[in-house]
Amino acid sequence: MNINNNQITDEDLILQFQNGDEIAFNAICERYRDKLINFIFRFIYDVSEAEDLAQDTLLKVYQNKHSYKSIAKFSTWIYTIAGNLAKTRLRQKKTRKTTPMSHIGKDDFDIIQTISGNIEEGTKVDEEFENALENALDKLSLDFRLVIILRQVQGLPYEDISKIISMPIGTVKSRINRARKKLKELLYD
Amino acid sequence: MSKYDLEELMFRYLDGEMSSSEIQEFEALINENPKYKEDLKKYQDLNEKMNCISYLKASDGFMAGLNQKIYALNNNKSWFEKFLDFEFLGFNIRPLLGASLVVLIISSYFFYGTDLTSQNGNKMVIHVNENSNKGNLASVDEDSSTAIQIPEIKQLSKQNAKITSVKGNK
Repeated sequence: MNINNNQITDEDLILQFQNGDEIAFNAICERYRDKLINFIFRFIYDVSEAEDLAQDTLLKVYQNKHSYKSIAKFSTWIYTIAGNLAKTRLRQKKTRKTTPMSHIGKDDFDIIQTISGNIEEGTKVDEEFENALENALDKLSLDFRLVIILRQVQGLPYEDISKIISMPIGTVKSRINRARKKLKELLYD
Repeated sequence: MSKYDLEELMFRYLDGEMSSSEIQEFEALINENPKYKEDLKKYQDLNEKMNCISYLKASDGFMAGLNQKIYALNNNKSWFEKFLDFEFLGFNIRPLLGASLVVLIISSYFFYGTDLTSQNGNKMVIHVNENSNKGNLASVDEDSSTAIQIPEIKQLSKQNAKITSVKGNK
């Protein structure tokens, strides 16, 4: 079976990994590393820390592979792990003084983009909006930030988000709408 | 229609959850309310911009860093953790160990448990050989054992008696 075939589901890959196939684990890493980095980055706005936490998330998958039960989607499980790690790191960061990206000058931002080389080629970056979005997201509570990132940035459906945060779909929709209203007020009003 | 209801309709519209007839009705309603039309434009703009924010890629050293962490994890495991991770024919042995433990506990209870329970609360009868010589098992005479109660054990220790068997109180 060709592991690189995109028709193989995440659930099949984790099942193969549970049976001892390490190549399946590598395929999971290839599929999820960028998604995890982008997801975590919107919490802590630090590229190297986001990579570090993405590695920790995949390490937890490696360590606890038998904890995954196929009754739930694999994406739900991995985003739950990543979300918990990101929230924990964010709480730790809040107790320490850090420099948010919005305080970094435009030239420094260009240098960061160039040196890290992390931005996908061809992406049109609205720097002003990104800085404003970072400040606005920082003002949201962790719960609201989590759902709006999962919905707007990761593009997950409401059903998946409700499983990740263990809340009913109605609660998820309500939180996302309230987060949208708050972001609109902060960014446009 | 309240502002709250209209906002809920806006979000359903933005999420693509309306039928074509509902979309027509909503757009007609919005066109009659310039303020809400402006709000809708702001939400649409926010949606579009959030869909276009920078998408980061993992650095070249990401997988190498992850493999280092996995290596460190495997090398820091104790022998017991490695034993628990052992797999036989693709199956982890933890469920088998758990089942074995349960069977062991249950069988221990049935095998030894009834002998240990006493009808008289915590009183137990201990048969003691009072004639045993200190440290000399060869001189022990089983026929000369005497049944005593636990509270008398303290006196026994002074007599250097040897305990030969323990039975529940009858």
